[in-house]
Amino acid sequence: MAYITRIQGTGVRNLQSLDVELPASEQQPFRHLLLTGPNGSGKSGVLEFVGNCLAACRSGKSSIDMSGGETHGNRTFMSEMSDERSSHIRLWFTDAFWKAQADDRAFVMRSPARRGQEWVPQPVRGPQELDLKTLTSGQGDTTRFLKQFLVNQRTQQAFALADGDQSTAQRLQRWFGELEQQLRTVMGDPALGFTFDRKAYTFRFESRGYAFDLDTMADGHSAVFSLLGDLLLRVQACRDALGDQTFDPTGIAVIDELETHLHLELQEQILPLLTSFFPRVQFIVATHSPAVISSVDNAVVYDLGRHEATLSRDYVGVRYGALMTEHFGISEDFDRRTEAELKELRELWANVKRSSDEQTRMQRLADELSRRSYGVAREIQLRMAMGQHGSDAA
Amino acid sequence: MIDVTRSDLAPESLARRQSWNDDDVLLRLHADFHGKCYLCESKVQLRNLQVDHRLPRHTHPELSHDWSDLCPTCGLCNQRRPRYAEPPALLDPCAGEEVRTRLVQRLCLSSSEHRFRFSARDVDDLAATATAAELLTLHSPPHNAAKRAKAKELRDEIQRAHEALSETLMSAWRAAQCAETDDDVRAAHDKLDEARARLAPDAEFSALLSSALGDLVDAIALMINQQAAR
Repeated sequence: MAYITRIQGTGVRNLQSLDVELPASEQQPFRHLLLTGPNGSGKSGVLEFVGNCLAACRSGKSSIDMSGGETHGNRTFMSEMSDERSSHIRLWFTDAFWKAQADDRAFVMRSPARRGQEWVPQPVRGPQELDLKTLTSGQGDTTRFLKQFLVNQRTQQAFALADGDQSTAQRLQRWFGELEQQLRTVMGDPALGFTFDRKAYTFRFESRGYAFDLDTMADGHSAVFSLLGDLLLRVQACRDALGDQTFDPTGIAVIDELETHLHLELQEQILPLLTSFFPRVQFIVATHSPAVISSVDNAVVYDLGRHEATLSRDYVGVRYGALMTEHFGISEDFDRRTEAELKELRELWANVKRSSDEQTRMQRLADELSRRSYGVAREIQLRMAMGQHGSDAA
Repeated sequence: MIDVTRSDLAPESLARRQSWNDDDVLLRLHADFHGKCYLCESKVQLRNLQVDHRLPRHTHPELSHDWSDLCPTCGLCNQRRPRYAEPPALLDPCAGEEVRTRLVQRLCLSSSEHRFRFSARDVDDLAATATAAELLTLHSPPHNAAKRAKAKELRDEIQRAHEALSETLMSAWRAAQCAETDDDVRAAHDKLDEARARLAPDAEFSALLSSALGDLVDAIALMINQQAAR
């Protein structure tokens, strides 16, 4: 299977330049990519192009455009050019051949930023065959078919039991068991109940005394569920196409704004969850979250604002405040107003020729900020109390 | 950076001139330097302790097994010390009170950009100036976001210790201000002792905090005595 090992691009829409390596090795067949950067730095554009390249491959085009396709030994790249010759994005892969035809042993998943907001209630009236291969080959949202798929699985399990096909029945029982476990982890409730209502052909959840179903989940949970479901459907599509229900396909998942709708605890968990549920999938993800970039240790974090790559394992264990200032570049890890007040206090302290109004203001700021114990406010307050006047050297 | 008294007898393993970080060296450094990194003054666990050559090995190979050149560091400071082609004269952490008397180390009160202020007390003191420059580099590593994040975490820890000490001093000052009875005076002294405990050689960041706030300790002590005298 081909995994991406390098992405290089420049001048595409609002992207200035990007060159990030995702080195593969014997021990580590791929690395994930966590793309960060200010709004407008081109994250979504990069992900969209990567997704387009991958989709084009699978639909039979050997390169998206034009003069870009080449093969260099172990690496293949395709490029997408805009009208200007200087704009392009190139991808490198691990395998020498990224097959032009769709490879059933691998899949591609793409999730745009606006996911979770368009969960469409899906009435299901009974088992109905789904051509997963066709459904997952387009670019549309597959979560519309999730409920139907689950109902299909459940009915197959029932039929298998009735037919005495123990191995299929047990396999499906294990599959549902794993799904239930995954949902319990996602919802953060080890006692979550997940039951099938065979009269209404729907699945119900019960958590902490509250009952709901797939259509009435909270936004954050439905966002995770769509990601999970999309990946599950694509895994199933490969299995169906190969006729091997135990096959574990490899894949590349391109997800924009992974942390959308997720509360902080879920932001910490989402990538570890997805990578453990789908260990053969390379995740190419855009994010704004310090929790996400420090949650796994085998990714490259690339910031489009600073054009700097960091190994995610160097961020594991680092406090979010430090990541906020040193990776994401905000000036302080506390609110703007307090930041401005502290700055004013320091400037006043340095100005030994301050007016009496300024002296009063300085006293007030020192008292106020000391109460919240900010930075050097307490020391300034103490020195003022002891009759010192400030210093431009201190 | 701290002043310590180095124990006289060099650890035995150094005499063999084969390695300079055997267990006996680590144990002795840990003990002599109060379990702290000599540069940033964080507490370092024995298993994480790294041995630094004050005068670097590549310019002073003859000192590589010399007890007088070995100092304990946390892993981060060891990496962040600048690599000198020609090392300047630097202050010696084991020369009496050299660091305390010749180096100013404090949190910067006035400027917003620089968090720390390291400088020589005497502008003509080249060794102190070079040492100050080195300490500044340790706390402001360039480039690498991951290194900068670690440096910020260190800065935050120092800031927390600084705030805690300032608060204790403020309580001591207030107690001294309204001390009327002998009991009040005693309570004020107790508070001040609490502050002094944070400045003990084995307390984290104590040399830096001493340099920053030590003058206030003395001033408050004076005040308490004046109150008591009345």
